[in-house]
Amino acid sequence: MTPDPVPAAGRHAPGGRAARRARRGPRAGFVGPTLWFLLPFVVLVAVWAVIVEVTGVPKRIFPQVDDVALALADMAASGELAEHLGASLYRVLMGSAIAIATGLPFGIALGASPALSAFFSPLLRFSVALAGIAWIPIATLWLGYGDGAVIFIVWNAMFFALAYNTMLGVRRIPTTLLRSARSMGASRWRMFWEVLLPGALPSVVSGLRIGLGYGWRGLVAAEIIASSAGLGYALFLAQKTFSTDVIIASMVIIGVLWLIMDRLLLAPLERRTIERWGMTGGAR
Amino acid sequence: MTATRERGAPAGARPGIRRAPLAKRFWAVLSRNSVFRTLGPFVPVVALWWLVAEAGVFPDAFFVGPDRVVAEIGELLRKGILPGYLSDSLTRLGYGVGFGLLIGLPMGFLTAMSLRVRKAVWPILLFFQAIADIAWLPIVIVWFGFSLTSVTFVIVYTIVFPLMLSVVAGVEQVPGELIRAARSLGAGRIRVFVEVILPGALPAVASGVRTGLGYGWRALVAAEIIVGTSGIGFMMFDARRVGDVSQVFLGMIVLGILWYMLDALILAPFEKATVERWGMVRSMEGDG
Amino acid sequence: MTALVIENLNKVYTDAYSGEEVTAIGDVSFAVERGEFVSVLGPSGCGKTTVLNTVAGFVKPTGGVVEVDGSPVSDPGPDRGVVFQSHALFPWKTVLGNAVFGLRMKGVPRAERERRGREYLELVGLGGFERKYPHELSGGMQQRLGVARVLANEPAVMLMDEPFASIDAQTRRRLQEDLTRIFEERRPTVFFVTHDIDEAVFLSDRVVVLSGRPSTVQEIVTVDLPRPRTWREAVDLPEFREKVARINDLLSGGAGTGGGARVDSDSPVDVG
Repeated sequence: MTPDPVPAAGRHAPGGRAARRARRGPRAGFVGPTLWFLLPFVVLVAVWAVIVEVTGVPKRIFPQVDDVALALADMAASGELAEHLGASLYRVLMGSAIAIATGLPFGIALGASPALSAFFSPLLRFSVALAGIAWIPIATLWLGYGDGAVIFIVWNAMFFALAYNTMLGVRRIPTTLLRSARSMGASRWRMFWEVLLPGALPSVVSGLRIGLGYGWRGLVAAEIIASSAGLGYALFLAQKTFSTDVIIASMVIIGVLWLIMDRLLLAPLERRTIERWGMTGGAR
Repeated sequence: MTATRERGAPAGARPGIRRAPLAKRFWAVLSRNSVFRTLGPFVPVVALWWLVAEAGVFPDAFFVGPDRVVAEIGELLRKGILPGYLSDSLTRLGYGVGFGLLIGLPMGFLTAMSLRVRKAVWPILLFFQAIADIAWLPIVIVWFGFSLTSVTFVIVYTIVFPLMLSVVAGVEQVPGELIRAARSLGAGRIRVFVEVILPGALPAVASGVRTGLGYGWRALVAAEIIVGTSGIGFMMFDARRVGDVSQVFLGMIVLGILWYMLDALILAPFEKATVERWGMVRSMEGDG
Repeated sequence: MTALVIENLNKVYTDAYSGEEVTAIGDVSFAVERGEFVSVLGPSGCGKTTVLNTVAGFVKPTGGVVEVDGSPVSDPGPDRGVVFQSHALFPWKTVLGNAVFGLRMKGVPRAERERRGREYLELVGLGGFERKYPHELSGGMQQRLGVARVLANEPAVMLMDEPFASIDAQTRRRLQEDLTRIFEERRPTVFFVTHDIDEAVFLSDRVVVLSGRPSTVQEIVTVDLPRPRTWREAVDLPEFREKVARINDLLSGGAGTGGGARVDSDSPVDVG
């Protein structure tokens, strides 16, 4: 369909309402969309409050909105929140940092060699399938309970997903690009930094996102099972004492945290690298 | 064109073509065999594993060789423990996936078809997806105790949200032109939905199912560990408790194989028969 | 018999961004007789595709009348079949499946619709490809399927939206000749949008030349070249060159304002 007079990104840009909406560019302002985003939650909370009132459900089973709010305030005031939050975030940061430092070069190295990547691909896929939670028993065996095990799980979850996607990303770089770089005299080192890394970037970011998704879940699970600090642990403790208000408060925190990490950090990052370089990270 | 006899070319060979050395041909044929391609890479890994175990690099309590694990498999199979746990895990997964699909697919499409509903529900979907499914275990345990229901609930939850999100995304990316084409060929609302939107959204939905399954799988293991009644997850954790490393290794391998089989025997053929046959692009397969 | 009547067609878009009003179509009027091949040509931004979309029912006009076979147009329907530039074939249906889609919507029984489907596939030169999937076909073949799909429905008007614009030059020539051959054989009523002057003259009985924005009909050029037509012969005919030159003059002389604000060309057709 002739896009004229819309100067669309490419005459035959893929259709679909989402694509057309995206082409219109970002709406001015940040406040508007945020409010719209929050509106459904306001409604949800209101519904929640009403249902609990009307059905008279005991606090033990399902707390009222203000119970949860109070629990949250308490946790914040007593410093508990900061403590758990700090522990969890520390582990996520450590785990991801190590995962990026190890997984990225590994993925690129594998991707750079067609023979190696063809050979190891099934192996990596297998590992991705196991990444994270399935390692919890062995991690606690090797590293005992505590920080070490949790960080290991986060690392594990991210490492394989990141390496695999990075490898795929490098393999997807068009051969013509590689050839032209080589024929312009790019050394091994140059190839890595200037061609392979940027070329694989969309896949890398996708891998990061997927990996972090697994890592985050692994974190929560590992903290429930094998730790004495952190948000997962807070959940675990609250469950033992049937403090449903604390449970729900912690769940909300976990949800908000992930939302922030994923939607405000990773998704825009993914979109930016893909858009800026005009590449497709994969048919989505 | 004069036929020059190349060295190594048998009489009557076509000019300019000669047979590659035996070794090369061997690899070429081998690497075309799909079994070799899938299982081959594991051979050096298993060999390395065996070596490391033999060399005693790690203490016995922490690391066991493949021979021990295989022996253990035999033991457990004989005692009937492994099949029992396996079927428990699979049953829960099956129920979870079944209900997840049953709920997620219709809800996803209902949401996708109405712009207003989509806008209203999307943020909520995102948020609930963000609450790591595992995080629901504690409250679910409060509600349903340490029971099968808890585990199933968590798995269903795990699958429903990524599924709904990908259904909505899938419907959104169906090219508007296809819908127009269908309408200008006489299709009414319902027909457009069945004939265009459903198949059009299929690649995204398939990918969503795969993602959801990936999460559900992990949630199963974690839930089994925490709720602790039976299943592979439980087996691994219990084994760890008594220090039986080989069972832990065994559990991981079984899990890996199970996922692999699930993927290769169910997901991949489904995609082959639909998305690939139609030449529609899959989204990235890097999500295990 | 008049198949298509467009009277004082006017379409104004409100730019989603700036709130500006953009007149996509100023005041366009013309008619297409049954069995006629009419092309619509104009400078960029003159709204020729919008005219097509209005006739197709994808877009509602702001003013004016559009009638097909005497009844006013509102929603998309099989009486106005559309051949899209990007072919818009259903990837999950076979070639035959695509071809018979419209017939299936009408409720034509299987044996009959397969017979007709095959007939039209033969006509466009896709005989033997029934079981293939669209992605297995080349660009040219995909476009043929797009045509077959519409023709099988036997619409009152076949609307073609720059169908050959994204095809390579050689294949395009062949497709144009094939289209002409099919037209001369079956005499459907065709409304063809293009920006290629040679193409318009070669294919059409008449060419509607639009002005720039706000668009009106500058002139309707009658092309009375003899049929059947082939490219080989056409390029040598002085009348051919004459008509092309005439249209060229019209276009360069009558170049409109062009450019301007972005227009939200989304159709209000929302399936949901």
